[in-house]
Amino acid sequence: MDSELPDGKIVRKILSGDRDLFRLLVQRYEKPIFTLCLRILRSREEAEDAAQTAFLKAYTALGSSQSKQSFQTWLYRIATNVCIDFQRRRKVRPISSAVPEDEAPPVLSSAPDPRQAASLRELKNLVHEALDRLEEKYRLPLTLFYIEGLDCARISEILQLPQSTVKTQLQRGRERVRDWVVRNHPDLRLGEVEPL
Amino acid sequence: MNAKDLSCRDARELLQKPLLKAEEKALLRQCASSCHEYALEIEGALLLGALSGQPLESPSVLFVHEVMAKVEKVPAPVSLTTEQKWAWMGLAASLAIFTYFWTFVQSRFSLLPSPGFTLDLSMGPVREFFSELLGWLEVLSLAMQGLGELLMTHGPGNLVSALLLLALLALGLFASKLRKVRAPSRLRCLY
Repeated sequence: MDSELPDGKIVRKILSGDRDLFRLLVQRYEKPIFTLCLRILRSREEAEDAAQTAFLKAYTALGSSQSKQSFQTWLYRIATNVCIDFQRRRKVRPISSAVPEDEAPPVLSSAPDPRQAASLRELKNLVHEALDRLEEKYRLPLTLFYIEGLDCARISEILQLPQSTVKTQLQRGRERVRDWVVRNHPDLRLGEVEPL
Repeated sequence: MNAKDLSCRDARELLQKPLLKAEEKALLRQCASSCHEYALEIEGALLLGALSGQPLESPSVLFVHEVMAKVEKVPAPVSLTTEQKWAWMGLAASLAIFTYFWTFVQSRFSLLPSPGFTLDLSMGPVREFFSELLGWLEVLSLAMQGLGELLMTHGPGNLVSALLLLALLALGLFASKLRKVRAPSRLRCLY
């Protein structure tokens, strides 16, 4: 079955002329790539455009993908770069107002009871908001680490940064998320947050 | 190692893992109270842990179809094998060498008399041409021999061989340019 073939074999078959097999790679990675684009761009329409552009770029450059790194890492790198290009092109809103208040997801301040507010769903919204307000250099590694579940080595390949830099960005990003949550929602007692 | 150090070591290890199990998160929470060095970072990690393991977002149902429609409009990707890359480099190097000798020969043949001139063979342009040509051929054959030995020893893919070929290419192009510039002044001297 073609659908069970590893990425490398599919790539080789495409390069030898079976271009329709690219559909398998798109089906395999459409969700993780779209999710990544959505987390970076914060707009479904733009995320879909960016994901399509990333797949198209990957297809045209498929011949150069057979390096040491995996196809997945290579595709993530293309998608990340496409998203950064999209952000630069639209001259992204300043970080301090990255998510306008009326568009922001419901947060703890609107909840009457802090304990109730610490429910998982609201906590996720809160952390998403904190993440949205971070600088790109912290948001990207944190997104790849916590949402995509990639380790430091993969992130350093995708972002083309030394692993030590990725670790530092993760560390500072975590601290900034925590600071933002504590500053904006002092009612939330972090010690009472259930292990998630 | 005391309890605080152990706790910090655990925290450091757990902070490197993107996806934590429930018991690992519980351990990380314990570390936050005993290892003050990482307390802030641990609290941030626990908050961000809320985002882990979320279902992935789905694009529109037409996503794959749209991508494939665009893919069909672009040329099929090509992949050059190592042998093909070497063949292209060899071709480029040969072209450069050929360009050099072509300009070299051209500059010499332009010395041949145009109608109305009488060639004075005592000036020896033909002899000079052949002696210089033989000299260059000797240099070239030595260079190719050295290059061939290098390629035989190290095989294709060796960076030094690639750099040598590129250097040869650049040298050929540069020399042919020099030759073009120098030719008119030689003409003036001879006639």
